[in-house]
Amino acid sequence: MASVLGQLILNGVLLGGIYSLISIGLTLIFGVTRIVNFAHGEFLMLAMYITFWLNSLQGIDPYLSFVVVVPLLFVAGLVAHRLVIHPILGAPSYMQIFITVGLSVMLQNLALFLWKADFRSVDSFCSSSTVKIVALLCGAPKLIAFAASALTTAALHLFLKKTYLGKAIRAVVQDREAAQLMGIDIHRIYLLTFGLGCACVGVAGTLMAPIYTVFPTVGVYFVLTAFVVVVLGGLGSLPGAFLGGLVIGVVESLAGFFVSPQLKEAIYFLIFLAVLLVRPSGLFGQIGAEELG
Amino acid sequence: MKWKRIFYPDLYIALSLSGVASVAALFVRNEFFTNLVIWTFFYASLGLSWNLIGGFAGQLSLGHAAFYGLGAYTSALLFLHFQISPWIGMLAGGAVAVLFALIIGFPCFRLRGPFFTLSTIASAEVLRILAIYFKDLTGGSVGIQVNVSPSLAHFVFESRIPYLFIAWGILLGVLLLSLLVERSWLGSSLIALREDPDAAEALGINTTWVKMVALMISAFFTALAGVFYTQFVHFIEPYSEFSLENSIQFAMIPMVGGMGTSIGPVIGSFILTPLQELIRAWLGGRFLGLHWVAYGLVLILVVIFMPQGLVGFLRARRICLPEGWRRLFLPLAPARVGREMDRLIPPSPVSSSAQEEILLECKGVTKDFGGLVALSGVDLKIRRGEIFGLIGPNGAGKTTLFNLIAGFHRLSSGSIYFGGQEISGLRPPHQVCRRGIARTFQVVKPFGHMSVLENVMVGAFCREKDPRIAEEEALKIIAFTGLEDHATLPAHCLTIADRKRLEFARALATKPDLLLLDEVVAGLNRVEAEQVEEMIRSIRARGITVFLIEHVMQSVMSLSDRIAILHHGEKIMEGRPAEVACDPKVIQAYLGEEYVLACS
Amino acid sequence: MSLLVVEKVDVFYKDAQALRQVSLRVEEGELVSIVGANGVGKSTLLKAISGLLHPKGGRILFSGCAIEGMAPHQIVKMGLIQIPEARRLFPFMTVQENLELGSYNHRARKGAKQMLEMVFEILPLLRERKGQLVRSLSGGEQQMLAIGRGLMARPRLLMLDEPSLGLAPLVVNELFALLARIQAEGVTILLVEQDVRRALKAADRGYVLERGEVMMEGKGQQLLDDPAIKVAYLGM
Repeated sequence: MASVLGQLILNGVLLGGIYSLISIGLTLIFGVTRIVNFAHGEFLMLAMYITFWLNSLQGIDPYLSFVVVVPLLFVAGLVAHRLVIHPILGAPSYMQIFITVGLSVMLQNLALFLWKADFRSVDSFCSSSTVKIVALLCGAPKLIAFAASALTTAALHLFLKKTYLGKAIRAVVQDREAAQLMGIDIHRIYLLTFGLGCACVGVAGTLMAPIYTVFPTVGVYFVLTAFVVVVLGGLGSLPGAFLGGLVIGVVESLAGFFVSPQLKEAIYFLIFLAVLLVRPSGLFGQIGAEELG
Repeated sequence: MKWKRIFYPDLYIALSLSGVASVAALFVRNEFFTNLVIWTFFYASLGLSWNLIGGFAGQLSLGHAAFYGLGAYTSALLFLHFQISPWIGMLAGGAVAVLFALIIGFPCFRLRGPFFTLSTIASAEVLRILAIYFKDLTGGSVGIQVNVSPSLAHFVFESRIPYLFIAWGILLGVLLLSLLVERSWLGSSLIALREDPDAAEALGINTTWVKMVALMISAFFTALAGVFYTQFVHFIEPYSEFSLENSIQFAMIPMVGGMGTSIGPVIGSFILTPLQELIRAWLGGRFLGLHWVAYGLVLILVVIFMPQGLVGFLRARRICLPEGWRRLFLPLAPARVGREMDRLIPPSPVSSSAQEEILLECKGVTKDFGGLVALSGVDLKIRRGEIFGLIGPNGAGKTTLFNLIAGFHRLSSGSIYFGGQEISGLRPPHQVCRRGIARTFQVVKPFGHMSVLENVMVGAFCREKDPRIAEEEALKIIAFTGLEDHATLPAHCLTIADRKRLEFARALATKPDLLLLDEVVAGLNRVEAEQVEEMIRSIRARGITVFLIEHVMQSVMSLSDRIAILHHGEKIMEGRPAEVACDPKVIQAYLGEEYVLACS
Repeated sequence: MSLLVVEKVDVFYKDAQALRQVSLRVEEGELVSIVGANGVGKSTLLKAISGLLHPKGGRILFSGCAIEGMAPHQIVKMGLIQIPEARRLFPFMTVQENLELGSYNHRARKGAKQMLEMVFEILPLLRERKGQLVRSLSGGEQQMLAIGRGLMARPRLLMLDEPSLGLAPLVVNELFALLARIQAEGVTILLVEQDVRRALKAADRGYVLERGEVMMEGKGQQLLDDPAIKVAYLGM
C-alpha cells in the first residue's frame, strides 16, 4: 500500500511540475498587467503543435526543439500583447474577458481548421524509457519535464530577484505608479512580461508534447487547471504558482485513484470554488488582488 | 400616463422583426429557412435570459450552459423514466436550474470581474463531468435519444411550424419579461449595481439579493430553452449541453447586439444566428472550425470598436442631444415641474423639543486597519435638526468615520447609535440606508449610463417600489436641486458641479433622517458653492439632519451649527465655529506648531 | 534660465478642474515650498509635473525642455524626481532593493554603487536595516528610505509630496535637517507640505495654493509673517 501511495504521490508531483510551469506564465502576466488571459491555453497548444510539426516534418527531437519553440512563443506573446491586450489595458473587465475569450476561440478553431481534429503524438528518444527512483518507477519524459520545469522556475525566480529588469517587474506588480516614478517604462514591462509568460508556456509545451496527445482544444483543459493553480497559489506569486501546481498534481493523482479517474477534474474544480470562497487571495497572493476587475 | 409609452419602440421593433420572419417562414416553406428562423428566435431568447444577469447586472457568466443542460436533462429524464410531459418537464427543469443558481450564486457572487467568470466556468464544467460520470442516470457521453411519436403532449411535432410558433412564443415571453424588469425597481437596481456597487448599496439596494433574483430568473428561462432544444433536436449529450462554447455563444449574442438593453439580444441574434448558419452551411463540412474563427474575430473586433454592442453604439449617438430630440427617443420624459420648492416639499423644521433628541451618537469609535490606527476613541453626539461639520487635515480619519457609520467598514471597537438604536457593525450598507442614513461619496459615483432622472429614481426606489410614484418623487427632488433641465441627460455628460448635485439629489431621494455629506463643496467655485450651501440649509429646514465633512473652511464655518476636528484619528476639539477657529490646538493641527493667531 | 517653469497650467482630475492657470518657477539650488489647505491641488500639481497626469492647457519646462505630455519614465530620466505622498515604497522588497530600484533610470545606473554608499553615509540607519523588508520599518524610517531612494536617482530637482505626514515632530525635525543637507549638496528642492510653518521657514521662496489657484507668492519668511495666510487656511 505504501508503495502504491508513494507511486501516486510521485506521479502527482511530476504532473504538478508541469502544471506549475503552465501556471507560472499566467500568474506573472496577471501580477503585472492585472489581466486574466483566457487564451493562455492556446499558447500552450501552439507550442505543442510547433513541437509536433518540427518532429514530424524534420525529425527533430522534442527536447531539441526548445531553441525554436521558446523564442517563437516569446515573439507570439509580444505580438498578441500589442494587438489584443494593449488596447484594453485600462478597459472595464467585461471587455478584457470577452477579448481574451474571443482570442481563445479564434486560435483554437484556427488550429482545428489548419491541422484538423486528429490526435497527434510526438515521440522522443526516451519516450518509452523508465527511470527507477528508490523503489518507484516513472517515465523518463515525465521526469525530464519535472526537472526542466523546476529549473525554469528557479531561473525565472533568480531573474526576478537579481536583475534590474526582474526587480522592475516586481516593482510594477507591487506599486504601478511608484514604479513609474522610478523611471520604469511600464508599457515596456507589460509587453516583456507577456512575452515572458508565453515563453514559459512554450517550455511547457515542448516538455508536454512527448507525454500528452496534441489536438486543437488541448489548451482548454490545461488552462482551467492553470487557473485553479494560480488561484490556489495566489495571483501574482511565483512560489505560489509552483507549489500550487504540485499540490494540484498530487490531488489529481490521488483523486484519480481513490475516487475515480473521471471525477478527478471535478474534484479540483471543487477545490477551486472552495479556495475562491474561503481564501480568494490564495496561499501567497496579495490580498485584494482578486477583487480587481 | 407616461408609463404607457414604455414599450415603444423596443417591443415594436422586436415584434416587427420576428413577425416578418415568421410570416416569411410560413410563405417560403423552405425547411432550412424555417430552421433558421427558429434558431434565431431560440438564441434571442437565450441571449435575453443571459442579458438579465450579464447585461443588466454586469455579472459576466460563462457558465450558463449549466442551467441550459440542467433544463434539458431534467425534462428528458423525467420523460424517459416517468413519462412526464415535457411541458411539465419545462417547469421542473426550470426549477432545478433555479435551485442550482441559488447554490452557486451565493458563493460566486462574492467575487468580481474575471474571477466571477472563472467560477461560473468551473461550475458548468463540474456539471459536465458529473453528467458523463453518472452514466446510469444520464446515459453518459452517449447521451439520451428522444424517440417518441409526435403529439402535443409529447412536445414533438412532425412539421417545423409548431416549433416556430413555440419558439416565437418563448421569445416574446422572455422579451416582455425583460422589458418589465428593465422598467421596474429590479432593473433599476441591477443597472445601478453594475455601474457602481458601493453607491448602489449606499442607496439601499441589497446587491447580493438582487443579483440572486436576476440569476434565478435568468436560470429559469435558460433552462426552458434547453428543454426546447431537446424536443427540437431529439438528442442531448453532455458536451452539447454543458459546454463552454454554449456559454460563450449565449453571451456573445447580447454582446454584439447590445448588453443591458432588451432589444440588444434580439438584434444580436438576428445578426449572428443567420451569419453562423450561413457560414456553417457554406464552409462547415470542408473547413471545419472556420466559422468559429470568424466568430472569435467578430468578438474581438466588437469589443475593440463597439464595446457597447450595436444598440449601445447607436444609442450613444443620441447622447448629449438637445432636450427636444432626447424626449423623442428616450422612453421616459418628465413633465414640466416648476421650481416652487415650497409647494413640492413643504418646509417642516424640527421642533425645538425634537432638537434636544440625539440622533447620532458615536461612543469610543475606534478603527484600525491591521496596524494603522485610523480612528481612536471618537465620541460624538449629533442632535436632530443640526448641521454638524467635521474637519481635519488629510488622513485624519474623517471619511473612515463616515464609512463606519454607513456600514462600509466594521468597527474595531466602540459603538454607534442612531435614533437610540445601535447600528455599530450593521452591514451591508443597504441596511444602514434603510434605517434612514444616506451618504454621498468624496469622489462622486454617478450611474454614468443612466439618465439623471433614472439616477435619482434609484434612490427613490429605496422607499417606493412603484415606478410611477418613484418617478414623481424623483422629479420633485430634481427640481429642488436645480437639475430639471438635465433630467433626461445621461449622467456622464454632466459637469462636476452638476454631478455633485446629482449625488446630493440621489441621497435625498431615499428620504433620510440623517444625511452624510462628504466634501460636497470641494472643487466648486464660489458661486456654485454658495448654491450648495443654500440647498443644505433648505434641507435642514425640511427636517433632515446634516453631518458634513469639508475642507473648504468658508463653507464649513458658515453652514455648521457645531464643528468637530479630527487629527491623527482623534477628536481634538468640538464647539461652535467661532470657538473652533480660534482654538490653538486647531491652529496647530492645520498650520503647524507655535503658530499664534490673534483672534478677535 | 529657471530649472523648472510651470506656466498657466490647467489640470483636470476625474473631470473636475483641480488646477487653474497655475504658474510657478524654481531656480537652481533653491528650496521652494508649496503650501495650501487640503484638496487644493498640491499633489495634483506634482503628479502633473512628473507626467502621471497630463495638463489640458499650459506648459511645463524643465531645464528649458517642454515636458508636459511626456511619459513619466522619460521625465525621471532627465533628473526630475518625485518622492510621492505616503512614500509608496515597494512593500515586499527589502530596503536595499528599494534603494537599488531608485537608480533604475539609465542616467543614475552607472554610478549606482557609489550613490548607494553615499546614501548609506547620509542615512546610516538604512545601512543597518538594508536586508529588512520595508514593512518592518517605522514611519520615520520609511520616509528616510523614500528620500534615500529618491537620491539614488541622481536628481537635479527633487520634489517631495507631504513628507511630514504622519510623522512625530522630532522626526520631522530630522527630516528638515536632511533636506537642508541635500540642498547644500546642490540638489534643487520643490516641497509640498501641510506643515506650513516649517515649510516656509526652510524655503527660499514659497507659493500658497487655494482652490487650485496660486493665491500668494513670495520669499519664505515674508509669507510666514503675512496674516493673509491664516485667512487662506481658516476661512476667516
